Amino acid sequence: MTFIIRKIRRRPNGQEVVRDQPVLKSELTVGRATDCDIYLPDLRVSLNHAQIEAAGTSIRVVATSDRPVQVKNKLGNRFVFSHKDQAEVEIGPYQLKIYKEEGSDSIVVATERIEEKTPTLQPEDESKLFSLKKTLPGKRSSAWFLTVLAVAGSIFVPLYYFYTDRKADVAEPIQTRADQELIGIRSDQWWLSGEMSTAHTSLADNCNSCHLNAFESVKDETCLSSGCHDSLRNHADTTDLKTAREPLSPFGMMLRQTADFVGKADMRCASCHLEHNGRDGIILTTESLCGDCHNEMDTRLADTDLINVGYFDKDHPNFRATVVVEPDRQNPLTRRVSLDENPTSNSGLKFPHDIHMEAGGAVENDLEGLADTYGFGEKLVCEDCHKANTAGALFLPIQMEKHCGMCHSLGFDKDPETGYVRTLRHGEPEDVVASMRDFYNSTAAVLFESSNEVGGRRRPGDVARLRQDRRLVDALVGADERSNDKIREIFNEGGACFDCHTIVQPSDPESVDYNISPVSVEETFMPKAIFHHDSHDNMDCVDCHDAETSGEASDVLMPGIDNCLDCHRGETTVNFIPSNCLMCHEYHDEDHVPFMTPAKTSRHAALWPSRKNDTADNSAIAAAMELSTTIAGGK
Amino acid sequence: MARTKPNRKTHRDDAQHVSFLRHRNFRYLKLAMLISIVAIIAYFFVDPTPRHNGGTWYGYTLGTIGAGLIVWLTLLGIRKRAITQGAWSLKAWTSAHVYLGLSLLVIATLHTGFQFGWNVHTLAYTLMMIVIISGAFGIYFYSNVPRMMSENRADNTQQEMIAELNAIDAQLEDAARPLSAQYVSEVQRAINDTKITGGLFTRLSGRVNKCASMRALSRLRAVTEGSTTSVDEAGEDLGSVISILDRKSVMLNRVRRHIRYKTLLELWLYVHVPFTIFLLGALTAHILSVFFYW
Repeated sequence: MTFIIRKIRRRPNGQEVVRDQPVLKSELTVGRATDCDIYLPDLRVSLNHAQIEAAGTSIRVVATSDRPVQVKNKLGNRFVFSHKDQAEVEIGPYQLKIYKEEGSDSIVVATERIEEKTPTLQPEDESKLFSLKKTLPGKRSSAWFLTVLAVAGSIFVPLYYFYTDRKADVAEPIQTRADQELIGIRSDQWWLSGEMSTAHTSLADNCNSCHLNAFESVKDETCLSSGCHDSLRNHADTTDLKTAREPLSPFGMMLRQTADFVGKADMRCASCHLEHNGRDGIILTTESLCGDCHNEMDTRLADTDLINVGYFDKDHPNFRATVVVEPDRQNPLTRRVSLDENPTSNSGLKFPHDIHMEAGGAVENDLEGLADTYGFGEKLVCEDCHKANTAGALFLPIQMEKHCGMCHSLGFDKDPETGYVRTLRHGEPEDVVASMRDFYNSTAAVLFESSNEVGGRRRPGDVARLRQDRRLVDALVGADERSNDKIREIFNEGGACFDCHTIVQPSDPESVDYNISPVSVEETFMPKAIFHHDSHDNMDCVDCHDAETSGEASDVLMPGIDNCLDCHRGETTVNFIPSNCLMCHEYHDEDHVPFMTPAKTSRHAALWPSRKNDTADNSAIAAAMELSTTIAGGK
Repeated sequence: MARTKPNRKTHRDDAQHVSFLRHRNFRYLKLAMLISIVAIIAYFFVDPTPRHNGGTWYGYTLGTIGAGLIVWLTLLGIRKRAITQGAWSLKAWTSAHVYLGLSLLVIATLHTGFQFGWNVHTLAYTLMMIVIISGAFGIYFYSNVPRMMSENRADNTQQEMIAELNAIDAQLEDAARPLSAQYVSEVQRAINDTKITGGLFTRLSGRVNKCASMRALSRLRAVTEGSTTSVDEAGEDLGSVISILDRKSVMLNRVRRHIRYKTLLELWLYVHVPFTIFLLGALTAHILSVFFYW
């Protein structure tokens, strides 16, 4: 039997190159091994992959390694063909066509590599292999994606909410709106330019409550209306405010004009109150805020009667106490006098602080019996009479009955049987006179009745009747004289009224029409400043108020500015307590009329508030404000 | 028509290789330093009430400068596609891009007044920082990686590397033919299953876990070292396959290092460019929102 091994190779142009090699054998070995009859150099082919056997009219193909051969997509280890058939066997990338050559006995095994060798890497793999193009999303597509994200999320969604979900109605509870929120990104939070001030925190979710229209700055009307700050008034007339300001530098002028040009007008609420600057940012506390105008104000504001004030520790004038010049129950005359001029107060009272506070003095000795009743200590102290108000800032007014009355009793008679002490009414001199007269008259009548009963049987006849009437008149006249004496006693030196009050003597020396000079005690000497006693509770009263050496009620015991400067200095100080104007003064306040509109009224037309019966003061600040309301312009 | 003669000195400077970082003796570095120092000093001298932020006059000034700079810096993307010489050469532009871009760190930070929050304003700032920092990485890699890259690839082009790997595979194929099946399958895997590289982190690491070629090499080496009979059996054929695998592993390491360097050179741009455009979007929203709620 002869095999013809026909090797077919194709040139790139498709032309076949055929080379025949006759082999005189009955079987052929096929494999990768070089000694195989049919040498198939590929690693997918086993060393000795198969054997082709010719037996009679059949041809067998038998796999001789553990790898199979393939015939018509069928893998197997053994295939038998007839001579007539053309068998097509695939081994690895090779195809073996086995057939009997016509006109000959030889069996042809035509071998052709049908699967071309392809290199592992192709030249076009270069960019995939070496660049990131196929590894990461493209730069252009990511850029588009992110831009759409930015524009949609940061522009369209907030704008959508601004125009569809307008919340101009601030009356609507914020809680309800929060319930309606669909997604987190909306103009309110996503566009918020900075933390809101504490007072406006609740508006952070509602830009529309202040920003009514797009591209338009917040207007004063918005702040002053809508039930927020509608009671607030300006510090002074706007024209005056503009005139009083220090002239701007050219640069400052340029900034102001630019601000005007871009719709941020001057002298708006928001010119000073800059929101979105943190919790405390909205209220300016800088000293220059006041200093800009009040420093050399008289040179710019000709008709002002305000004193120039620059900075607290440099050129703040000494304090001016508002003192009573002429006491009056309704309208006392007051005056503001600099503490440098040692002002005196004419309250109409006599009160020596020194005697009351003297160590080992008469007052101290008298306290012993009263300690249980009033809780006095060994010595009379300030707090025994001066009670802080509930705000803790200032003190409640002194009341005679409550404070002086602890020691200075107005009792004038004690019932020996019941122990009841008859007490005179304070503050009503006519009532005092009448009560005393009534008392002595009634005692005379009682004495007369009892003397009749003591005398035994009544004698008949006119003489007796006349004698009896005479005795009654005598008794009444005696009572009258006695009460006059007592009244004189109480209103004159050594008497209860005289100790504290200035007495108006009766015009007729024979009469007892005594009266008391009007009394007006300053509730606060500094109505234009706010002072908090409670924040100074680490100090003693006498550290500031020279009460221990004060012998007269007319002494004004207010400490001057030097006293404050011991601890407080301007806002930039390092070693002292930094203090700005607003620590003591207010800028806006409805009740602070002197601050709101510079007073144009007469210098001495001060009004003193009518004394209120209700002394349950809730707020020292309120008291100070009330006072200042009524003494507008009292300088 | 009279043509302006190019300045000779300038022309020579440009012709010689001077890095864009050193362009004109660091002209734009100096400019950027000047701008930054002036901005910082002014920040401390300007006394805004109640505090520094984007809404004071100084804040608006810095914001305007910053926004203008961002737009100009972005224009490099357009500018680099046109080629000119001299003062407005691409090199000059790139140098200015780098240094003025870095000065934005100071300008924009001072513009914020250190007021940050969860809002579009801080988003724009954050994106800007990402862009600048990715750019800084870019500069760092541009000045260090090319040298390492050329040392590594030893005059081979990328196509040559591919051809070399293919050639090695062909040699492996040839050399493995006489070997028995157990070794051949190892070699086949080395040829067919070797992953040159993978995802981003594989590229950055410069190595591939479970590389079929490396495994084939170590296994066949173990055979030669462990058993004398096998060596005898396979003889020189196994030895030559091992040496070819050895060459392949060296080549693979080189290619992978090359991929690592290329990744370092490219990756920052995949952040820098898309985030620049993202930033432009956020910046627009930032500016719009400020004027909208004026």
